[in-house]
Amino acid sequence: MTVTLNWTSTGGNGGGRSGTVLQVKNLRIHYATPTGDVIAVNGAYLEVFEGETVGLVGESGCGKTTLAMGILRLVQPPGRIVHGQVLINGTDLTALSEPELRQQVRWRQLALIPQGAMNSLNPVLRVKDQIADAIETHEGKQPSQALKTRILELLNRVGLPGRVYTMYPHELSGGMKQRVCIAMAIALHPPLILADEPTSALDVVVQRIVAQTLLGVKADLGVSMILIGHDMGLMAQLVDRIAVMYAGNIVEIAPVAEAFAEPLHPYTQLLISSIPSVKVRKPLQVFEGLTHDLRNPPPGCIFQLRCPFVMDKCREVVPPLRELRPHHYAACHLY
Amino acid sequence: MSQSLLEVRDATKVYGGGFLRRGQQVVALQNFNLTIPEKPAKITAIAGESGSGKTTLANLILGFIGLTSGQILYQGHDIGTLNEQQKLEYRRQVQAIFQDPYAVYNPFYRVKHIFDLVIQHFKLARNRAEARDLIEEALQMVGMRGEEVLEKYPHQLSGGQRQRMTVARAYLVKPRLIVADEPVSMVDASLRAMILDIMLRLRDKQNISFLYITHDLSTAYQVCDEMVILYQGSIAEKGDTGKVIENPKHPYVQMLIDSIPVPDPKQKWGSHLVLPSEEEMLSHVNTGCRYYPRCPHRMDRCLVKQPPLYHIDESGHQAACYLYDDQPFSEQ
Repeated sequence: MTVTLNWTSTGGNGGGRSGTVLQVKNLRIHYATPTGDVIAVNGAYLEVFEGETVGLVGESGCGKTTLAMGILRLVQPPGRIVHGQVLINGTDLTALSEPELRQQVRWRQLALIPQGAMNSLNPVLRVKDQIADAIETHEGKQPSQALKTRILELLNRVGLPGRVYTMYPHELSGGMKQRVCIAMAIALHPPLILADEPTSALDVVVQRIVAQTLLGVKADLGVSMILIGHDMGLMAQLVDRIAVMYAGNIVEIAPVAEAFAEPLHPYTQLLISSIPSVKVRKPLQVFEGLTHDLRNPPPGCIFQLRCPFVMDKCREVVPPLRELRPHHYAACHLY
Repeated sequence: MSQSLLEVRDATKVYGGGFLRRGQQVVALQNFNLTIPEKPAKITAIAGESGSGKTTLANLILGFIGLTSGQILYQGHDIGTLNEQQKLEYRRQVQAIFQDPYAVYNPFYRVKHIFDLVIQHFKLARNRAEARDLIEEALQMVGMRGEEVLEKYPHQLSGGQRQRMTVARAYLVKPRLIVADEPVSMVDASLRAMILDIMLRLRDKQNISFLYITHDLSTAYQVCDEMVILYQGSIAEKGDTGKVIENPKHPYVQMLIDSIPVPDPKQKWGSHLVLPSEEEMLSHVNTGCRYYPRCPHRMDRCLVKQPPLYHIDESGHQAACYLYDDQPFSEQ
C-alpha cells in the first residue's frame, strides 16, 4: 500500500469560516450571437470555504452551468469570459495559460462531475483504464500494482464493489456510472469539486444512494464542493450554503437553513414556495411572466418583470448584492 | 354499474424471448389491472422507478406495442380487435403528451402545420375558418394566442411554450383520456405548476381523464386523484393518492417516500440506505415477491408465491404484501 491521501483541510467543518478555497470576483461571461451578446453570467461574486458545500440553484438557462464552466475556464466559443477573476487558493485561473491550467489546475485543484456524467464515460474503455488515464495524465506513469490498489480504494470509497474495476460502462447502472465519475473526480484529491446536476435523470432511490456517496466523500475527505441543481429538496439535504441565480445574476447567497426559513429575494421566495412536497398538499402556484431577452436586459433589477413587489426604483437602479444579515446576501431594493 | 372508459385486464408484456434469444426474457408488465371510470374524470398516477413498466403501460394503451396476454378495453371494446373506423376514433379519443418537448416537433415545419395535420387527419373542420377557430380555442385553453406561435418554427419557442403546445395539440381533438408520460420532468418549477394547472382545468372543465406517468411522487401528490405504484412490472400499492402517500403500506413504497429529499434543511435523511448486491437481486427475481431481496420485513413465504393485493380499507387502498394477510384480497 503506497497510497496516502494527505488532505490539507481540517475535515468537514460545514459552514465554518476557515480558509477560502475558491473566490470568484466579478466574473462576466457572454455568448456571442448574430443579434448581440447574451449575458450568461453578469458579474458573479462567489466564495467557497474549506470543507463546505455550496449549492448553486436556478432555472434552466439562468447561467449555472456557464458559471461552473467559467470557473474551470472551459467556456466554449461562442462563449467567452469578458472579465473577472477566479482565484483558487490565491492563484488566478484567468491569468494562466492553457497548458498550465491542464497541468496544475484541472483535476488536481478542481475536478468536474459533468452534467449527465454517466454519459461522459468512454464506452470502449474499462472503468480501470479510464481512472488510470486520469491519474497517469497528471502524475505520470505509475507502477501497475500501486495503481490498481489506488483505483480499488477509490471504487471502495464511493461504495462500488471491486468487480467494477474490469467492467465496461455499459455493464453498469446509471447510479453506478455516476459513482464511477465521483471516484474519478476524487482520484487526484482536489480541494474543490464541481458537480453539475449529479443526480438528475436518476430515480429517487438511486438519487439518494448517489447523494449519500457525495456526503460520504465530503465527510471523509473534507473536500469543498459546488453542487449545481434545481431540486430544492436535494439542496436542503446536501449543502451548507446556497447561491440562487436568476438570468445570469446571483440574487441571493445564504446559509441553507436561513434561505429556507427566511428567503429575502422575491425570486428565492418563489422558488421555496413552489417546491412540491409529500408532506403537505397545497394548491398549485402558477407564476406568470417571462424572463426578459437576455441580450437586452432592462435597466434596473433583473427580476422586475416577474417580481410581485416591483417598485419604480427597481426599473431604474440595479440593486447591488448586499450583506443584509450576517453571511446572508441578497440583491433587492426591498431591504 | 356504469361502464368504464378504459379497462386494462390482466395485461402482461414480455420483451425478448424471440427465436434467437429464447433465454433472455424480460417481463415488463405482469397481470396488470386498471380501470378508469367514464365519469367523473380523474387523474390517475402511474408511479415507479426506472424500469418498473410505466412507459410500457403507456405504450400498450396508446397501441404502439401489442400485449403478450390480457386485454385492454375501451368503452367495452377490445382495442386489439377494432376495425379501421373504430381505431381512428380510439386514436382521437385517447391522446398522448410526451416527456421531451424538444423532440416531438419536426423542426422543418411551422407550428401551425402540427395543428393542421391533426385537423386533416381526423377531419375536424370543413373549412379554414373553422380550423382556425378550433386551433385558437385549443391554444386559449393553455394560455397562448395563435398570433404568438402559429407562424413560428419550433426552435423559436421556449421549452414551456412547446410543452403547452403539446397539451393544446392533444386537447384539439377533444379526447376523453390523455396519457401523459412524464410531462413535467423536463421543465422548471414555475412551468411545471403551469402544466399541472392546465391538467387540472382540463379534468374539471372538459371532463378529460389523465393517466399521469411519473417517477416524481411529490408532483403526483399535488394533482392526482388515484395512484398506482409499480415495482418491476407488478402493482405494489394502489389507492387514493392521499392515502398512499400519507400512509404507505408496502415496504417498497415506504422506502420510496422516505427517499424523497425533504425540502427542509432541518430534517436530514436519517438512515443510510443500502441496496443489496446484484447477485442477491437476481437470485430471487423469478419466484415470489419481487421486492424480497430489498425488503426489511421479508418472510419465507414471500419466496413461495407473489402476494395478492390485500385490501387495506373500503376505499380501494390495496397493497401487495403478506404483512396485511389478515385482510381480504384479490389476485393479481
